[in-house]
Amino acid sequence: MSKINSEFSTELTKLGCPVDLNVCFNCGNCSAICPLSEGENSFPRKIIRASILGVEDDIKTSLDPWMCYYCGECSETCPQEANPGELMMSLRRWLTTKYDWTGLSWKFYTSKKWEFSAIILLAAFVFFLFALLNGIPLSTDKTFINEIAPWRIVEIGDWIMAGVLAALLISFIFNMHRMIIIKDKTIKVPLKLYFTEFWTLIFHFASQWRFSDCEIKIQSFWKKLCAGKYNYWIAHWLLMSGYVLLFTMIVIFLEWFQTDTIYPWWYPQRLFGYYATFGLIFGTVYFIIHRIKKDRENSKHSHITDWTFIILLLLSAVSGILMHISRINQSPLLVTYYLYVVHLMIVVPMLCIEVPFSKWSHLAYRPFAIYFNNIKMAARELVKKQSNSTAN
Amino acid sequence: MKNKIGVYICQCGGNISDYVDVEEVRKAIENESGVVIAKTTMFACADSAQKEMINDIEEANLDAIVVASCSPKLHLFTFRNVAKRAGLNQYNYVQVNLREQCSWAHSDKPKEATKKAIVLVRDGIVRVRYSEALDQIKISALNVVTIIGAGISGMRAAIELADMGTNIFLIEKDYFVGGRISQIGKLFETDEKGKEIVKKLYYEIKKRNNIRLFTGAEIKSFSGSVGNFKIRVEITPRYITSKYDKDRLTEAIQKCPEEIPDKFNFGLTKRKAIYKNYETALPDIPVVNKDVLSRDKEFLRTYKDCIDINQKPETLNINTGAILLCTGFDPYEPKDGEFGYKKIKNVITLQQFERIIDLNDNVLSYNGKKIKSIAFIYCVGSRQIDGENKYCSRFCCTSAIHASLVAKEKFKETKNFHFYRDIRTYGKYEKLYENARRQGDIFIKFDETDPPVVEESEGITQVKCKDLLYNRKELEINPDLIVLVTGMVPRKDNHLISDILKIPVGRDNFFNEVHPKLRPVETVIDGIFIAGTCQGPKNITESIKSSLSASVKANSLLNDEELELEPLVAKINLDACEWCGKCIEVCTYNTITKTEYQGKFVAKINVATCKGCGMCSTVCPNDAIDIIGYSNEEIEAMIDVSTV
Amino acid sequence: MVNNNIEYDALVIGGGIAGQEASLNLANNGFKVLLVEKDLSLGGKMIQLSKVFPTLDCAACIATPKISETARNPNITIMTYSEVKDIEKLGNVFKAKVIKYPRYVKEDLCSGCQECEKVCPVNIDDQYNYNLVGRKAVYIPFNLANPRIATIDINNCILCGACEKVCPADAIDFTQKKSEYFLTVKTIIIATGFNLFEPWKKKEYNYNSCKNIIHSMEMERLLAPTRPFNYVLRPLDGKKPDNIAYVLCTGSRDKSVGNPICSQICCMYSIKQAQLLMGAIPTADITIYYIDIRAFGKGFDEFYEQAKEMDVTFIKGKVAKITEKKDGSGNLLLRYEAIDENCEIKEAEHDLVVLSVGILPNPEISSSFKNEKLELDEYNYLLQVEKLTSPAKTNIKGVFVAGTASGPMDIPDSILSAGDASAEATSYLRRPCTC
Repeated sequence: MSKINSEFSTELTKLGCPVDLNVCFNCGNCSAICPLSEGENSFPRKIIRASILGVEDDIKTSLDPWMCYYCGECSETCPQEANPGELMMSLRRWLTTKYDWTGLSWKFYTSKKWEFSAIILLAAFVFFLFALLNGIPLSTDKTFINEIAPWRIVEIGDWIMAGVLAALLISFIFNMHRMIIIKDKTIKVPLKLYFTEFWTLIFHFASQWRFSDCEIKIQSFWKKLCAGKYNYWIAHWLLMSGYVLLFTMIVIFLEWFQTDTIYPWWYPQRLFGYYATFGLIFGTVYFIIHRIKKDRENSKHSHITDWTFIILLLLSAVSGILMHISRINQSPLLVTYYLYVVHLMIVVPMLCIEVPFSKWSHLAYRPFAIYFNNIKMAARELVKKQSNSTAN
Repeated sequence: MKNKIGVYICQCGGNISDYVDVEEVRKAIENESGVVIAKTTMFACADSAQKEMINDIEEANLDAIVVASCSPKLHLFTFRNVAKRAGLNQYNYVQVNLREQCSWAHSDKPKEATKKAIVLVRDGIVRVRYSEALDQIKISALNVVTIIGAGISGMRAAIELADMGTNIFLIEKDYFVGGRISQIGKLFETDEKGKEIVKKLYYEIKKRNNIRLFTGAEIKSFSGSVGNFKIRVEITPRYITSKYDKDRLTEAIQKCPEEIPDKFNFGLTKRKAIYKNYETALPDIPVVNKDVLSRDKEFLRTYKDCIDINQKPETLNINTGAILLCTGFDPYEPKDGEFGYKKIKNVITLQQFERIIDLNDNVLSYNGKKIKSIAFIYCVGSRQIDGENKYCSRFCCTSAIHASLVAKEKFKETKNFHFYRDIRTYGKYEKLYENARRQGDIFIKFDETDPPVVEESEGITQVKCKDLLYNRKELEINPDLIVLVTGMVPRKDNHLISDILKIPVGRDNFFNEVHPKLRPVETVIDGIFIAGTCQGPKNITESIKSSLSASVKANSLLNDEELELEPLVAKINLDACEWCGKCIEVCTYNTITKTEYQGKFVAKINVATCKGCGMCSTVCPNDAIDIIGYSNEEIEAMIDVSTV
Repeated sequence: MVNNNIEYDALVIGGGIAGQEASLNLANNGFKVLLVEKDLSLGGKMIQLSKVFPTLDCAACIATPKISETARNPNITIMTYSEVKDIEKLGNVFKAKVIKYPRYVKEDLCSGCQECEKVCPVNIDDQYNYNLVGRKAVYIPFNLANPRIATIDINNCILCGACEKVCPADAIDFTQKKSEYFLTVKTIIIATGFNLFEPWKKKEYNYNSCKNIIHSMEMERLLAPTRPFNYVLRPLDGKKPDNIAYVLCTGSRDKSVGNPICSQICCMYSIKQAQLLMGAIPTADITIYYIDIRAFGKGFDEFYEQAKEMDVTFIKGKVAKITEKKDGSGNLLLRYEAIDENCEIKEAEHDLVVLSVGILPNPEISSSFKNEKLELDEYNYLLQVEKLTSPAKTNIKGVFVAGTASGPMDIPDSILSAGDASAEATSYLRRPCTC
C-alpha cells in the first residue's frame, strides 16, 4: 500500500525535470524503445509512473536512473513529448541528493546562489592560502615552481582534500548501498557475492561499456564505429580517462608530476599529461558544442549544474596546459606561478563541489549501480536455485 | 396474365457470369411461356443496356420485363424507372437476384449455381406473368412535426425545421425548456455555458411563429399513420393565475412556507414549493408544487391573486405529419453502497458534481467542507460486467475530464485523481485529456474485475486501488470528494412513450433506429423519428447532428404535403373474411381495424400503414388476405416451377 | 471548352458517403444539387472497405445502393474526375469554377465492357487496391465504380491505340481536353473527407522495408468481397498468416509524427477486422496492441467484448519498434512493454503485422476559396465556428461541412453529420434573407 504524493513531481522540477512529466499516458513506448531496457528490468516508464504517483520509497531503492545512459530515443519517439530521458536525468540528480546525507547537494542542485558562492569561496580560500604562504609577490628571485609551491606541501593539501572527499563519497555510496540492498527486504545478499561480482565494478568503471549498448544493436561493432554511433561514448571515455589519469598523477604521484626539470616531449610524464589534457579538452569541448547546438536528444536540456561542471573541467584543463606552456617556454616564473594559482583556484572548487555533491559523482555511482544490480540479480538467482534444489 | 415478357440476364462484369453460365440460363428460359425476348447483358444497369431495354419494350410491345441481376435493394428502382420510361407500368417489372443470392453465395459450385439461377429466373417469369399494373398509393400529409422533448436536440431541431417551412409543436414534459444541458455550467470544447445556450435557443424559438411550445405537456395517446398522426397531449397547469403581478409573486415565493429538495440540483439544495429550475429558467414563469403547497390553506388564501391550485389540466389534440422524439436520457443512479454512494457522505455523481461546480463561486465546498482533492471513478453504470448496462456511455470520459479542468480553473487548488478503465477521449477531445494530465491530474487504471474500494473511517474517506499501470501496486488516497462518473441510461419513463408509439427499444433499452448507417434517425414506424440521447449516449454536438439529420429527413418527407407509398400491401377478400381477429393480433403496424361490410364484420387494411409484411395472410384461416404482388396464387405457381 | 454560368442551389464537394447523404437530402427537399468528385468514381473511402462495424454489414451493400440512389436522383448532377476551384462569394451566391479532367473516353458512349482493359499492354499498380494487384493503363477503377466507365491513365499510357481499335462503342478519344465550367450556387457543402496516415512516416515500424507489414486499408482490401486474391495472404510469400498483430495508434495520439489527436475509428475497425479474420482463418491467433480501447459508440463496447470472447488477445502496450526476424522467415518482432503483466519488455513474433493507421485532415479545399478564406482549426480540419449548436457551420456563411472534413468520425457519425449539414443548408436556403 502506497500513498500517492502528487507533490513529488514538483520537487523533481526543481532539479530540472521537465514539467511535461505529467503528460505521460503510459503507452510504454519509452521502455520498449530503450535499447538497455530488458525483461522485467524495464525502464523508464515504470519509474516515470513512480514519479508521477510520488512513491518515493520505490524511487529511492531503484537503480533504473543509473542504468539509463541517455541515448534519448525514448524522448525522440515519445508520443506525448513527455521527455522521459530528461526525467531520468533529474532522477539521477534526485538520487544524488538522497545518497548525500549532508543535504549540500540538494542546495547546490536547486540554488544557483549556493553553487556559485561555494565556488567563489573555495577559490578565494585557495588564493588566500597562497597569499598567506607566499604573499602576493610582484617579483621573485626564485627560479623553480617547487621553491614557491613545494610539492610536499601541495601534496599534503591534496591528501587532506582527497581524504575528505573520499570519505564523503564513500559514505554516500554506503548510503546508496543501504537504500538499495540493505533496505530491500525481499533479498538476502551473501557476502561472497560482493567479491565475485567485484570485477563488474572495475570493468564498468574503466570501460563504461553500457554506453556502447546505447545504440541500436543490429549493426556490427565496426559498422557502428564507422557510422559514428560510438562518438558519444568515445568522447565521454576520453574525458573520463584523461580526468582519472590526471587526478591520479596529481594526488598520488605529485612528486613525479610536478617537477622543475623539463623532460623531453616523449618522456612519460609529459606524454601522460598531454594525453589527459587532450582527453579533457576534447571531451569537454565536444559536450559543450552539442549542448550549445542542442542537436542530440541528451544535449537539448542543460541544467545550470551541467554547465558549471563542464566549464570548470574545461577551465581546469586549459589553465593547466597554459601553465605547462608557460613553463616549457621558460616564461618568467611569476607568470607560471600565477597560472598555477589560478589553476588551483579552479581545480579545488571543481573537485570539492562536483565530486561528492554534484554531477561528478556519477563517475562513482554508475559503476556501483551496475555492481549492486548484478549483486542483487545474482542473489535472486541463488534464491531461485536453492528453491529449485529444495523443490527437487 | 402477361404474355409478352422480356428477360434480361446480367453478367455483372463477371460477378455473376464467372460462376453462373448465363448463356445456359438464357437458353433454358427462352422458351418459357410468354417469353418473347431473352438476352444476356454485360451490365444491365449501364446506360447502354437500359436504352436497349427501352427499345425492346417499345418495338416488341412487351407487357412485362424481368431483370436477373443483383439485389433489388440496389437496382429495383433503376429498372422500375426503365419500365416507366418505356411506358410500362413499373410494377410489371420483377427483379431476380442472381448475384447476392446465387453467384456470390455459390462461387465454389458453378454448376449447381447455374441450376439454381435457372430456377430463380423461372420464378421471376412466373411472378411477372401474374403482375398487375399498380399505382402508388398517394396520401396527403400535414407539413407539421411534433417534437417531444425541448432539450438541446429538440430545440435545435424545432428551429431548423421551422426555418425549412414546417410547422412545429414542441412538447416539453418539464415546466422549463433546456433539459440536461441547463444543469451544466461550462460545456466542453467551447466552454459555452449550458444556460446561455438554452436562453439563446429559447428566444430563437419565440421569434418563429410557426413553432408552438408547450411546457408541462405530456403525450397521452397516439393514432393515425405517417402524414396524419393524431396525438393527445395533456398539459399540466403551473397553478399561477394568468394575470399575476410579478412583484406579488416574488413576495409569495419569499414567504412560501414549504421547502422541498431541489430536483434540478439533484437534491443537493432545497427550493421553495413555488420555484423556477434556476433563476433565469425559461419560460420565465414560476411553477407551484401543488401537492406540497395545497396544505397551506392560509398562504394560498393570501396569495390567491397570483396562485390558483384549482387550475385543471388541459388537453391538446394535435394533428401532425411526423413525430420527432428527443426525449433524452437519465443519468445513471448508482445503487446504494455502490462505491459508497449514499452510505458515505462525500460520494456524489458526475451530474451532482457539475451542479456543485456551477453553484459554488470562489471556493469549492461540499457539505460545508472545503474540497481540495477529488477522486473520479469512471464507468459507474456503464460497461457493467454484472449489471445490465453493457454499453459505453460515450460522453462521460470527456465530460469528467472537462469537469476536472473547469474545477481546477475555477477553484485553483483542487487536485484531481482519476480511476479509469480506458480513457475514451476520442478525436479532438484527446486534447482535454492531455490538458488534464498537464495540469497535474493523476490517472490510475483499474482492472474491471478489481475496481477501486471506497471506505470511510473516522471521517476520512479513502480510495484504494490497484494500479494496472504500476505492477498492480495498491495505491491509496484520501480525497475530500468522490465523484462517480455516471453514464447515461434510458429515461425511466421511456416505456410510457414506447408503449404509446409502439416503437422498439434495442438491447441497451434506448430507442432503436432502423439501421445505424442507412436509416439512423428513423424508427420502424414511418414518420416517427428519434434523435439525441434517447437513441443512445451522445454528447451535445452529436445529439444536434442527429436531431438536425432527423429534421431534414422529416422535412423531405412532408414538404410536398403528399406521400407516395408502395401499393404492395395486404388486401382483404371481403367475401371470404369472417372476422376472427387473428390478423389483428399478429399485425405489428396497427394497420388492421374491424369494420362492417354487408351485415358482417370484416377486417380493414389501412394502406397508409401496411408494410405488406404478410403476417396476417399466413394466419388467416379463410385465406381471405392476399399480399398484392405476392398472392397465394403467384407463390404457388412459383413453387410449382421450382420443383419441376 | 468553356461552359458559363450554370446554376445550382447547392454544390456538394466530395462524393464519399457524407457527400452522397448530403446531396440526397438536399435533392429530396427539391433542391438542384451539383455533386463534384475528384476521383474517378463516387464512393470515397467507404466503398473500399470490407464490412463495417458494429453490425458487420458488407460495406458495398450499404454504399452501392446509396451511390445508385444518388446517381439516379433527377435533382442531382454528378461530375466525377473534376475539381472545384476559385470559389468566390459574391453577395448571397458563390461563383466557382469546376475543372473536369479528360478521361480520354467518351462518357456517354462507354458501356463499361472492359474490352479495352483486355488489350491494354500496360500493367501498373492498382491504387484502388493499395498496389496489392495491378491494373491496366486504361481501366475502370473498381468493379462497383459509379459511373462505371473507363479512363485512360495518360501518364502511363503508351499511346499504342489498341484500346481504340477494340472499343465496340468507339468511345476512346485521345483528343479530349480538360474542360472548365463556371457555376453559380447558393450554398456549398464540403465533404472532402480525410487522408490516411502514411505508415512509413513512423520510422520505428519499418513499413517500407518489411514486406509483411501492411496497413489496415490494405487489410480491408484483402478481406473485402471484391478482394484481389480471394484469400488473406502474406505479401512476402503468399503464405496464409496464422499469427497476426494489430498495432493501434499508428500515426494517432502521437506527437512524434505530428498528429496529437485520436483518430476515433482505428480501435473499432481493428476489432472488426480481427473478427472477420477469425472467420476467414479460423486457426489464426490475433493480438491487438493498444493504449486505450475506445469502443464508445452504440453497440461498440459490446462488439469489443464479443471480440474478447472470440479469443482475440488484447495487450495494453504501444508497440515501440518492429523489426524483421533475421532467419529469413519474414516474420516480425514487435517490441513492447506488457504494462499489465509486470511491466515486462517483450518481443513478440508475428507472421503478419497490420498497422492500424490513423486519419489525417484533408485541408486542400481551403485553398480553392478566393475572396473569403475558409478557416481551419488547430489540427487542420475545417473550423466549425459554432461547434456545439450548429456543427456544420464554417466561418463562411452558406458554406457547411459534412463528415470527416471537420474531424475524425466513423461512418454512422459521418452520415449524421452529413444529415446535419444538409439540414443547415436547407434552412439556410429556405430562410428568408436576413443579410
